[in-house]
Amino acid sequence: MTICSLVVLARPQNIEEVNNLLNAMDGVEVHARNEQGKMVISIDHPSREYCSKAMTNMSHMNGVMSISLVYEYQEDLDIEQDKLALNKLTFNKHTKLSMVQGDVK
Amino acid sequence: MKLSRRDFIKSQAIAAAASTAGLSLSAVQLVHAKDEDDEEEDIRWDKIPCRFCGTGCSVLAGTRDGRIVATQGDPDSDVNKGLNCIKGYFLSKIMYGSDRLTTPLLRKKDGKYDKEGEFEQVSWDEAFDVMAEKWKAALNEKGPSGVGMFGSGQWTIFEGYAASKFMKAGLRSNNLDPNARHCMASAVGGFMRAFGIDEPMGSYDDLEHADAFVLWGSNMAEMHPILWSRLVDTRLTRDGSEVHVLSTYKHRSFELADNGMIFEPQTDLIIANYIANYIIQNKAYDKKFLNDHVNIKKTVTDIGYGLRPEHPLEVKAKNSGKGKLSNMSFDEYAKAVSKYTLEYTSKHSKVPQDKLLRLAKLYADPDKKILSLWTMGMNQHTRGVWMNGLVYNIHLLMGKISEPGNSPFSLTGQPSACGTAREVGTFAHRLPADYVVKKPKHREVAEKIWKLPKGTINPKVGYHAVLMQRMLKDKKMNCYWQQCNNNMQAGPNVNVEILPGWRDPANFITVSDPYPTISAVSADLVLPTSMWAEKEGGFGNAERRTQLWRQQVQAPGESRSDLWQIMEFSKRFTVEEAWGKELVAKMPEYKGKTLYQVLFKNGQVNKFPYKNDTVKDQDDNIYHNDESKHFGYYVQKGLFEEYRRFQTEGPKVGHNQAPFDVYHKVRGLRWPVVDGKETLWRYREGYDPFVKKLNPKVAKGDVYFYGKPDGKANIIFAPYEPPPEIPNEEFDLWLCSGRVLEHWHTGSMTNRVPELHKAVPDALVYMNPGDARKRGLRNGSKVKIISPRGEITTRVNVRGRNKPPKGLVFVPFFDARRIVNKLVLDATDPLSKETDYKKCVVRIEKA
Repeated sequence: MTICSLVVLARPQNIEEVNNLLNAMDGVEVHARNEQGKMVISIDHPSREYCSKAMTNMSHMNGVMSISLVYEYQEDLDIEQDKLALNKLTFNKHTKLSMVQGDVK
Repeated sequence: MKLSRRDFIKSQAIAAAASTAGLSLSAVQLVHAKDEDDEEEDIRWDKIPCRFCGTGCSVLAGTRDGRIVATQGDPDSDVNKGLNCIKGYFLSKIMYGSDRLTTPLLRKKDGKYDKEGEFEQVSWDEAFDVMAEKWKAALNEKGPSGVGMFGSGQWTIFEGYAASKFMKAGLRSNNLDPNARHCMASAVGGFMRAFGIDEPMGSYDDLEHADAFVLWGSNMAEMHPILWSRLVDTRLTRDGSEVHVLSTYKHRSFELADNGMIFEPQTDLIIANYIANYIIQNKAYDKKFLNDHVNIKKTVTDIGYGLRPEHPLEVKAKNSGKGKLSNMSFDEYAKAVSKYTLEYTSKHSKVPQDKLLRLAKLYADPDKKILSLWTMGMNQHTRGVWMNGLVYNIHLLMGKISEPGNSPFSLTGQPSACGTAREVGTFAHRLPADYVVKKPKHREVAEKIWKLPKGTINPKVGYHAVLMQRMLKDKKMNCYWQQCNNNMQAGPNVNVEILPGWRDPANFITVSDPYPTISAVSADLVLPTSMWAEKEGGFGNAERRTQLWRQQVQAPGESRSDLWQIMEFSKRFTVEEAWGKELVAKMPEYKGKTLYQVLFKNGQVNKFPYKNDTVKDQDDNIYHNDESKHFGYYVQKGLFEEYRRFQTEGPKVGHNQAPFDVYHKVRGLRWPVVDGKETLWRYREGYDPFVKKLNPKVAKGDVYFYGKPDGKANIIFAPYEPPPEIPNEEFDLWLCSGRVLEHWHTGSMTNRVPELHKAVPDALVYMNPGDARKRGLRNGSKVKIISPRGEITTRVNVRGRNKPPKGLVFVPFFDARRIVNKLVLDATDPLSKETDYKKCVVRIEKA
């Protein structure tokens, strides 16, 4: 479960357009807005990844001048300590000195 | 009304956003948000500044079961007023990357340290035993210059202070530099030369007071999104507000620009001088302000490029590395800038005349309040100190400075570039509070506060960031400890000037990091580090705001904070080993003691007790403090309170901070803090208490630049000089490097967040479509980027958010698999020693 809320600043002349584009996105709702282009929206989606993509897409939307995050809540943060212990042993496999010397093709 | 937990959280999220935006919600939504008697969430909320850029947003971190599960923009913060940028979404996740390091790792063969060995897990004891042996050998052979430490603008204030004390007082070595050298050193140089005190005179409040904004080499829309949202707010709501953006390529900030200007690299020097010329030609300058508050100087020219002394360009330079200022009359200054006419400037900068004229008229209009903002475009510049000065010249000519809305403002890229790197004095030439090692009086006060024998502090300026790498390569420095940054990826000319020294058997390299960065794998010893919310900390942002936080969660495995590492390592040296018998004889009471005892258990740092192994806040929330528990006293408080003495007992005024405990209660305060009050605009009577104190006769509301002995700031004339490399037949393109929104710096944290990595996995080369066509390339084509120093392989992007003009390409530096800094020349500003990452030459071929 991932829930976040954001404040979006749209160019005043693009409010309608931005509003419609946002509402059309999966899990996104516009809750309030004013004439200056300020909007309150939420994203509610099972996938963390979807939410982050949605935010990036919004920030590149035509007419959007800035987006700011206000609140985020996530439940799938689990870090597995056993996995961590294994990882330090795979240190040499994943990050190699050759990455500095050469180039990953 | 019963709400599901999900609805409850969602309502809270929406209510928080609405209240932040000042918008009202429907009654139903409000009721939902207030319905707290439902399933009470057992989340502990506490403030903590964000650990990414220099903006210094305050975040509320929600912790449950030892994990940060939620964050919220802090509504009580004056910086971000309840907002966070998108990076805030990932803040809590940076600690939970799957390859987090949890034990020290040492290169070993047959059970022993071996430079060519494979990394094996070792105990902290073994790690420090081997490291101390190497450091002592280097000290014996080369003296204090044989060892060095490279820190960070992401260190907490306490870590920077402890490092400074350990290196400068403990090992008597000034070979301590922060990665802020790569990002802010030119800004520091500019401040010191013009005003005699570091850091901006204004504050973020200028964002709401200014009529117009000029971005000089800064993509605020992507790099400082919260400040950008405040700027956008003013631009959209204030009559007559306008935004001017200068850059060498088109980026996101141009979308709001009323006057966007793409200039030829390095010609910002011409443009700034043109504006000064326009102001003088049109007699728009503030004559009284100039008479009362300004001296006019010129700087020595033909100063080289900070390369190795034998480099042909250094040999050729008449005044390599010199920065001497001499006096100049107003008429001489007017004559010096008269060459920079509109026609000349437009011709060389390639900016259309009408755009330049519009910018000049804006600055020359006495009724327009202007906020000039800049970041790396201006600092990472072989004439960065000059360029910082040229922008101050414009503001000083007009008297548009040190008042609400009129503000030349250098932004920072790291959370504590100001608070730690600069204020604490972790540079090779500095001590806390703007003191410098060169001045006997400054050393004397530092030695007194630190309770050291007279003559402990080394007067010789140490090796700066780039020089350290050269000295490792030349085997003149043999031990090197890097904390809280990733110089193998962020430093310039990696393969030629950095890697050889690190892998030389003569040298022993230690890297402290939470993750196996490219620096870590290039080292001999890797120390696992507690990060950000896993320790009690303090940062200082770009507007002089100091913010502290409490430890929120526990670090995994055997991770320890940089502070713990420095203090614990100091136990490995006796004063005799570090100082020699002669110096110890001056203070016989120190005989046989360790550096830890003398530097930290000195009756000052260990003054404040730490009881019951936990800290409680006003609401009875409980926090841990791993360092204090380990050492047995309140370490952070003791270090901070000792550090504060530099602000009031020494030769430098105007740096006062509040007592430690205050910062745990407030959302930061902007120094100087006097009688509990912060300072929003320095040098002006009515805003800055030091003005009246140091100049009792000052007129109401007048300025007094007290950083300089005569109270006057410097206009410093500097001409255009060419960059060290200019595209030619063989290498026909400019290369500019920098960041993208999704990744922060070298990506060591953001690349560990799966969503971010998936969103932008590779550093692409952003290119002009015309340039691509000319080379038979299309969007997505695989290419080699080749510079005189190396090559990398990547793919072309001609439709991205960055749109370079013909002749320039942009490549971000977050990607460890294609290190763009292999291509970059290790040329620096000769004065600030800051590398120019924004212009070197490359060619591009189909791969």
